[in-house]
Amino acid sequence: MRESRLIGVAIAALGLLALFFLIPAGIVTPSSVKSLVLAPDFWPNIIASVFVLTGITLLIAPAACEPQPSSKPTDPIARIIRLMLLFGALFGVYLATPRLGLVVPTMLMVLGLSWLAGERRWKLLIILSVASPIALTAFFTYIANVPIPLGVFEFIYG
Amino acid sequence: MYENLIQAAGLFFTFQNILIVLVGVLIGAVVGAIPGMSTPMGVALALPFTFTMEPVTGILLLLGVYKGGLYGGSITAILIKAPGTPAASCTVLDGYPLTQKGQARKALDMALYASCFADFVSNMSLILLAGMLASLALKFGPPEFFTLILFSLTIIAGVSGDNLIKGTASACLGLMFAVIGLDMVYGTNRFLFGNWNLMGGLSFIPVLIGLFALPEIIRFFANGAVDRVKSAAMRGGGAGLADFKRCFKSILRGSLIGVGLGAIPGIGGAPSAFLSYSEARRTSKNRDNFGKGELEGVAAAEAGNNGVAGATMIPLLALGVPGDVITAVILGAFMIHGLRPGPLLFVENISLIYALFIGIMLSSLYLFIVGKFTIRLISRIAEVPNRILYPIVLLLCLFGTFAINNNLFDVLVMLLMGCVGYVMMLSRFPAPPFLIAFILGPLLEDNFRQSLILSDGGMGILFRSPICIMFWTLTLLSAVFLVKSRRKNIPLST
Repeated sequence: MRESRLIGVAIAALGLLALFFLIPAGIVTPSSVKSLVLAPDFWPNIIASVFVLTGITLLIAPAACEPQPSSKPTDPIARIIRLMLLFGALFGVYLATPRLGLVVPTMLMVLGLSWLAGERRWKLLIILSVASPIALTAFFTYIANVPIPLGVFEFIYG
Repeated sequence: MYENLIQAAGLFFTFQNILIVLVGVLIGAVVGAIPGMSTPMGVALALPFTFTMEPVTGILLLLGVYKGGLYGGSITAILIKAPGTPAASCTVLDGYPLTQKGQARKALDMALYASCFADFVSNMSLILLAGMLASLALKFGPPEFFTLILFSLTIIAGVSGDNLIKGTASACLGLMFAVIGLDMVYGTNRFLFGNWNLMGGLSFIPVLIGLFALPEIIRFFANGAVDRVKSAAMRGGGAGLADFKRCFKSILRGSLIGVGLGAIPGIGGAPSAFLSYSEARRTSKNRDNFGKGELEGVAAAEAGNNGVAGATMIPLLALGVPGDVITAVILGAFMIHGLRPGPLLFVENISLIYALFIGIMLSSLYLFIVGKFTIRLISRIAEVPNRILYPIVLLLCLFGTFAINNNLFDVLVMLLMGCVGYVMMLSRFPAPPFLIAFILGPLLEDNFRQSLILSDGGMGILFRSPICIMFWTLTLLSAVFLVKSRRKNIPLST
């Protein structure tokens, strides 16, 4: 019930943030607008208002929407570390792609994440992490005609 | 008409199209059979591979995945009591007890026969009804479309899982994300905050993949690696014609229930399967055996589940509104290929519609072939450990998202949407309402504002015709029905 109330507060706060800051700051309304309902910010204001209302409903009637307990309790520290490693790998690929291309970072990502998930057969890990990005690159480059950034493999086009 | 049919045949009958439907059904059956992989996830991952295909080919691939996924969900439901899709949860009731009795093969066969028959009936209803509905919809103007889309937004009640309030909040978030970009009337900025990558709005595929593929994988890594249990052996003899005849009444009834419920936006496969099952139990001679391993129970559940497949395409093709979350994804695929489903598509591109119908009919046949001859292989593939599978799925997400516009910004959007999706999953906010609202939001706003421009700001235009009044009434009735069915604890589609 407490968790549901907290979620209600968060939703209401997010809705109010949208109503009083994000919409006024992020939506440009031209002075030529004749009718309020035709203004570019009319629709977002309606949505944000409904959002606030759903938050308030969760706040005052939490029992109706109480979350079910998690089926598998896990060590919170280990969970955070695993999440950090996962997001590190994913955002690492995003950041490394302009310099290294998409192929090498994704090879390392598959290798690292399969290992993190518990795969310990090194031969399989290496084959999987090398072959799958190459196969996808070949598909998109040669069949779908999408130029995948090759980075260090750019010499192939040489 | 004959000219259109000949054109459609020319459009469809290529080696590529005939093969792609089979590939789609196969992929769908595998994805559906893997617990933790959902059919929308499969369709989302297949979508980037369709960019360079002809529209017919690309859409048929996705339809194949959809149909295969519906059937695939029953494989693990029967073998390991782990339904691959929510709709297959009804199949567990009698499918798993049959496996425990050593009759897994019989249950799987009956699931296949019932699925194929129901799919065929559903496809026929699509072919017969979509055109009629589309010709009616040609009379629609912006106010009629606004009320129609509002009606179709009642889907959200159907896909909100066990919490309508959270479903509504999720839909609001989807509507808000859909607002990002340039205003469609005045051309002014909305939520760009100086980032010009957002001028065209958020791309559909990064949002889709981020919401449907990433959260499950993030949860897998966060909880630590837990792999699936192995499938039970497929023991026992198969189901024969006598078994099919014995269950035929329930299969036919389930198919018709599926068609009826599938054509109504928001109902989906799960309620249809449960309604079909309960009707079969009510009328069966073996009603006491239901829940303990009754073959008729498997047949009724699967017929109800698969009977919706073609019918959910009726509102999509005829009116341009999706019947459930997967058809919402397919609507996005149409748009990516520069097509807008709805009555005008029947006027301007009828040969494409007929070509899709041919492909859809072929998918019923392929479903039978795939189910009959590759079921052993599919159940083996479904045992591939998640520690191997999920990094590969992540790879598909990254490449597929990048390939949309050759833009890394889309990859960033996908990753951020994955974070949003994971937070939503943790707080038990359903993702389907977000996606449906994200797709329908711009259409709703566009038609709303066009109506008001026509009436110079007067709201009365939204009630101008009997069609508008009908949709307002249907919206109210649909909302009441969905809330009532929720109170009766009938599981709705997700």
